[in-house]
Amino acid sequence: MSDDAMQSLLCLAPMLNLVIAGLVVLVGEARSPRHAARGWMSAFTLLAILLSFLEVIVIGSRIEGFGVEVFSSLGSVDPLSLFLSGSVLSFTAVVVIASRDTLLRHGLERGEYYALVSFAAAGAIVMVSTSHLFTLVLGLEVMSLSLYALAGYFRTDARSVEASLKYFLVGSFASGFLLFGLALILGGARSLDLRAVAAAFLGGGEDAHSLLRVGSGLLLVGFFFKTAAVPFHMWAPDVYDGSPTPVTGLMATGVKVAAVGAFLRVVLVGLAPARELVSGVFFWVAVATMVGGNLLALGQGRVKRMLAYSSIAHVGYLLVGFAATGAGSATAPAAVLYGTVAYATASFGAFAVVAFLETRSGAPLAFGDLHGLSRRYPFLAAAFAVFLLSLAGIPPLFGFLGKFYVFGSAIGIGMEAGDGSLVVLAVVGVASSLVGLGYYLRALVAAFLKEPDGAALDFRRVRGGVAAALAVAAAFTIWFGLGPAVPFGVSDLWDVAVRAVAPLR
Amino acid sequence: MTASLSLVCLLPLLGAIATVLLPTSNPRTIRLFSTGVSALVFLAALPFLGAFDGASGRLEFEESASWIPAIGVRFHVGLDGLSLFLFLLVAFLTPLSMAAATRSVKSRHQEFAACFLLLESGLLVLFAAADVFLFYVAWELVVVPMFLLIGIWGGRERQYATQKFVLFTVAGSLPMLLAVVALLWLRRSADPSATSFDFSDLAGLAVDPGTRRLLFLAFFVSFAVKVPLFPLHTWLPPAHTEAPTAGSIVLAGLLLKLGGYGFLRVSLPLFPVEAAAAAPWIAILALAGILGSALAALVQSDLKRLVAYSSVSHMGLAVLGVFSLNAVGVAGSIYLMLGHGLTTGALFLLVGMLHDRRHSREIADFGGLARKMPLFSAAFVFVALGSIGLPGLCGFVGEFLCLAGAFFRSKWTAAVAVAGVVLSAWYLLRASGATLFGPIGPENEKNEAMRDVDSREVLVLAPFVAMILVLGVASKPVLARIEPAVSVLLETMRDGSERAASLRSPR
Repeated sequence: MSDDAMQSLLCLAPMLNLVIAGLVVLVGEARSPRHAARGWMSAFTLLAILLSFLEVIVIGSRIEGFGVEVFSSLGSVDPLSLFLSGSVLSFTAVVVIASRDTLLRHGLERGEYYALVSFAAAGAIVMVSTSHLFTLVLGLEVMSLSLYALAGYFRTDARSVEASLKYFLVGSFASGFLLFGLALILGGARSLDLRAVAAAFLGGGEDAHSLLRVGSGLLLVGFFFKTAAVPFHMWAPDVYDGSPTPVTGLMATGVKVAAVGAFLRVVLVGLAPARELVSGVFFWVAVATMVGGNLLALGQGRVKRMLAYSSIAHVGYLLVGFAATGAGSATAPAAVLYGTVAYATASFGAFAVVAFLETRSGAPLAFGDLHGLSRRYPFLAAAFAVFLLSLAGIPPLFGFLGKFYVFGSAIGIGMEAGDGSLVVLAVVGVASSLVGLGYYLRALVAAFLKEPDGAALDFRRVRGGVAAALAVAAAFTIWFGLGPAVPFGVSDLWDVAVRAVAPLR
Repeated sequence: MTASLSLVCLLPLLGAIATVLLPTSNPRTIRLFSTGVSALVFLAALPFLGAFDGASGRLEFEESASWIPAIGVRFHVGLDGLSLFLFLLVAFLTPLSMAAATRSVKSRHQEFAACFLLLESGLLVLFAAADVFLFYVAWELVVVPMFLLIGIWGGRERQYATQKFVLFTVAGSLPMLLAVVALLWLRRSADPSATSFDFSDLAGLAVDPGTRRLLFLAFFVSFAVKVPLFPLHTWLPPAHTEAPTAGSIVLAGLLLKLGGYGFLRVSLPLFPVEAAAAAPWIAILALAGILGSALAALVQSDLKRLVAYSSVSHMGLAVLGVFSLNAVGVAGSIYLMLGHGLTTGALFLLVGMLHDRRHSREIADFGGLARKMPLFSAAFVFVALGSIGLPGLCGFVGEFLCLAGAFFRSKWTAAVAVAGVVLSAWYLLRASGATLFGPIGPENEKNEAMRDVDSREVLVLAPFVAMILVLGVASKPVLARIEPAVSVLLETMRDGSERAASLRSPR
């Protein structure tokens, strides 16, 4: 094999691992006797994810500077893709760990679950490791299809099936927007490579420009659908609420990181010359998303639904970073990456706690079920508090720094360019954070201040794996929030994020 | 020989972690351990008083470590004349409050102790912070343990009270976040190689007047909610009333001082022009607070609520002192805050003792206690007089200096403020009279069974009484340490104003 092909294959290794692991789990389970032990599936999947992660690190140590192009520029492995791949893999791993309890309680631990999760992660990795729009959509579709199936994994639960169908229909609709946008961009730029798109924005004639503008607009709409920005968010609460909670955890973490990261690349590279278009669009969508997500969360009675709206609101905060990127901020892209990882860490923790509590109650978790949590499960409640406070943006936690960097970059570029709209964005962001505190406070009050009324959840120890995953997530939330001179604290992750986007500027 | 300042600040935090990990659930052991830790912190903090020079008016005992190089903030702590005594007040009040909590905290002792110690750490860091970002982080951080303290161990309306407290406080401090970010950006664009983000660095920033005004407003809102300044004070009565005794002592004795300290640390030195321009309006709000709260205290039937309103009233006077913008007023405000911490803390302590015995805070339920509880009554009257401002006790020095400072600025303001002092005498003495004196008749015969203060309560009360007296007579050494820092502050303000004036008229 030629050197190039070898290199391409090696760069694909993380993704290939996951695909192969998924297939092995599928076939292996099909061939094993009906009542054989199934514990090996999650361990095997975890091993595969760990292997992929190691490969990501190895590749990262070997590529320099701008990274490599593989498969005639259809794929692109650079610091950004490695950062995102690593994040996706980490979150997928902890989701797998936290899934077992829920699956076992429903008696549904099957190979398909782990295979689909592996495939979703593989699709996510493809999605982030490319500078070519077609590959991006390909990866997005692979990831989304896996998730459509995962959302409906609890086949006998009407809400899960409903979630899956809704997700599938809206997701396909959104993909339609994406593909139509791609077609127009192809027409305008003669190529789907992001750099060619950027060149076409700069050069190119009037016709090309109008095609590109409409195409980019449709592309952005597709992106907003996929990340559940307002007003394209209608599907998210139902889907998040109806899906099995570990799947929701995956949606809120790995999928978010991949989607935001991939589109950050699109905005940074492909849409870079189209500053005003991008900045203007993101401004309005960010405002609508932050305000809408936070206000709608206030009235929710189910914890998962509240977390879904909080997820929408957080996308709004990240969109502020996108708007700042569009306005030319140098720190905004790294801030978006940092903020996404910060959000995903705390979000995973919150969903994992909800998943565990639901295995105890057997029903969707309502705020009333949280009563007395701090007495029954003190450490779980403490971890839950850490996650909620991080999401609310209370220092010195990870989530606070994420918001700090994002709003900071918006204010920074706003003051530098004399552009008041970005400062307004930061003000709206901060004000809607206050609203956000309202519903996080409600959950905290329920968990810490209220006594259990009537039937308290029967106590069972938090299983080792889940406890470990929660402990790690909580530790990271605090660690990254503090990180002074400690190794690999906040500064290091920020540097990693900065270096991830550096080649693209 | 002083210990490291950062270590003293973080010692309560370590104590909190240790308390949580203690393998015992015996309340007595937990209490002893945690009170011991806070007492240790006080002993460690005491040498700072002796070693403090204060002549330069600048930060002493400084320690600085790189924190987030990406944005140039450092973990920079130090004490100067403005913060030294408030720092010591934190170390002083915490062990006493924890010792006082014995009767009122009936469950979840480990969490209570951990919350309290975490709160102490946050407050110590806040007063010692020399870096703006660290200041902000500590500011937000102290809300969390307070939320739990009021919400879990508080009275009947505790959930409402604590939610109102959190929402008000965070609503106030979020503008401060934006202001901190903006200041950060301004500093870095003025000096890209800057590696520190201290208050002193920010004093010299050149900012256009419109932005300055917004920044001043953002910080002002945050501090005004905490102080609390009328009309942002409505969170305070429920929070103080519903908090457990120890929580009230810390809330009134320490957390309210954060607002006043914030004005002195941030608003005045960084935004002198805006502070001067806003001073008349702030004075009006302060007066409204002084008089309104005093009048509200007058009609209270709940003792704790009465003390809460008296807190608002006194802090209004402190704000008046701060915004008199002269040496006398500013020094007075610090002294008043110190004295108020002691007197209000003692008042809440005493009311808590009553509550422990009768589970009631209504004045009507008491009366004639002087006969049954002579020591208690003596202490009550003493502390009340200290709060009113009887010369010779701590309240007088602070109140007099604040009023004098206000008088130098505006005679009418001071004249109206004096009415507040008179009113405080009225409601406090009236409350003392109704509670302690008079006969024990058929309506309150339960008071026959009231026990006087036992040895443990005396142990907790005595330091308060002693310090109220000491600060009343030995004001000179305290003021000697405060005044140089106040001069430096005013000098910074003068420089700032001159710079702003020269920017405005370059021709």
